[in-house]
Amino acid sequence: MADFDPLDIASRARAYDPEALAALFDAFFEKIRRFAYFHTGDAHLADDLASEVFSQALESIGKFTDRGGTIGPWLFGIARNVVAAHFRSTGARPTVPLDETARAPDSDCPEERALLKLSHEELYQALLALPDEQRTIVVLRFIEGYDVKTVARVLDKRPGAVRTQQHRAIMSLRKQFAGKEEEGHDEETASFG
Amino acid sequence: MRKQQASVDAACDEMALAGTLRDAADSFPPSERTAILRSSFLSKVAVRRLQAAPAPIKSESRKRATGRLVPAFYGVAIALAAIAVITMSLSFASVRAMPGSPLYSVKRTVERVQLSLLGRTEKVNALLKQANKRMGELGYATSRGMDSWLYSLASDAEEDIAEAKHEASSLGKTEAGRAVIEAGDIVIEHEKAVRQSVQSLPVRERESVQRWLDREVQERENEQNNGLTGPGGMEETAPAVAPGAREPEHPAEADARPANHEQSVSETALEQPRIEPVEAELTSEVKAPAREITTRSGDTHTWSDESDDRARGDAPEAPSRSTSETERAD
Repeated sequence: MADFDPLDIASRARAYDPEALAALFDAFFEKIRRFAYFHTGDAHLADDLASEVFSQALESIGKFTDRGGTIGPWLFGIARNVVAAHFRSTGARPTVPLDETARAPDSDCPEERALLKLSHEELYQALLALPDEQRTIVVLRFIEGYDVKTVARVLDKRPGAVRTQQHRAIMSLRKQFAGKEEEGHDEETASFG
Repeated sequence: MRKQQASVDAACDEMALAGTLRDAADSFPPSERTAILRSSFLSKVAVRRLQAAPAPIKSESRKRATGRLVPAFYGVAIALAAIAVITMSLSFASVRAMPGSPLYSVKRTVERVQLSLLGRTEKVNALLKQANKRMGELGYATSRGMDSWLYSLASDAEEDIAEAKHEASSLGKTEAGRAVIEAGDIVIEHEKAVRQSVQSLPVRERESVQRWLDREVQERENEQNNGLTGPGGMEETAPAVAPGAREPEHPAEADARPANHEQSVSETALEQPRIEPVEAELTSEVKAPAREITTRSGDTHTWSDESDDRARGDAPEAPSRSTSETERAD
């Protein structure tokens, strides 16, 4: 990944250079898959959707014009469309809050591990409870680390609109986490009492 | 102050949220199907790359664009080499193929191709060898009860001998004579194999089949004596193959094939594909056609004079005949 130069990769990928496209796949497949997972809550489906994203990217890579390392956001833009198309075709909305593949982080303290695992579960539930656009913003901003301008480009919105949606998403998540924290605190008190 | 506090709180919220989300994202296990999906993607890349390749160059500009023709030339060369390797591998693999084997049709095709490439003299020899092979296969098919193959194998052997005769008729006397002798050998060998098989039958069936076989031989001899023969008795020798080959059609033998029948046939027909005359084992009935072929052909063909000369030891050139053939000629 250290050698990954988005500009170079993009220019070579446009010429269907297998090495460049393989590097692109290696760099972005897990990210796209994670993006799809946060939208669907299904790891297996996320695999398929991520694969579809790369197929579509391959079809349209010839038309891609790089404006300074924008190949990642371009892929996420495709991913967003693919996920939306999936929901349109199936007519289903994500209802599964957590896939079995989510792992609890390692910790020596059992109480802490339980709390962390719970908070991850709550996090997934909270993400799936968000509207599509807010979820996309949260994933791109806080998990993938893109700035507001880039996210705005992916969503084809103004940066101000993205900031507003981001704020709403944070408020929503905060509310959910606060409720869960209270529940968790009550359970903890009851167990000690 | 309140606004500043609010923005600080918001930033803290964002950072805390980002940290929590990244933890969650990191805990998301990688796909077990990544390798498969990657391979699939790269194969699509290869296809897309081919599709995006420049269109074939028009004939006008081909001479100027020889550099682009090189990959195409390599492609054609590789394809031809692959076809050649596959064909040769199949040919080698099919050499020992027997009836019923998936490669048997390949073997027959290879034989046909080889025949078409030979000169007339070599073709006669090749046809006779081919007839001999069919005999071996006939024994194989008989020993395994592959009745559906028997007639076609016998017919093929018959056709090979007939074609050999036809080809030989346009050869010089020496070559034609040699070919006829080989044809006679094949018939004798086949009769020997049939009679050995008959020996392993139960007594009742053996007598029945023996009578039938004797009758067949007698009929053939009668036909030969009646002057229906062609040069060298080839026309009599060829039908002699068919009755023996069609022996399972005889009710007595078809119904009574003993367990050790397989061994007796395979010993004679399979393990000795090249004819090795065993004079001592031949019965008097088997010897008769040999004498007859030589004697009668001596009446009608000058090549037999040469063979007689060879038998006396004063032949100018000695074709490759076995000792037993020479004895037979004497």
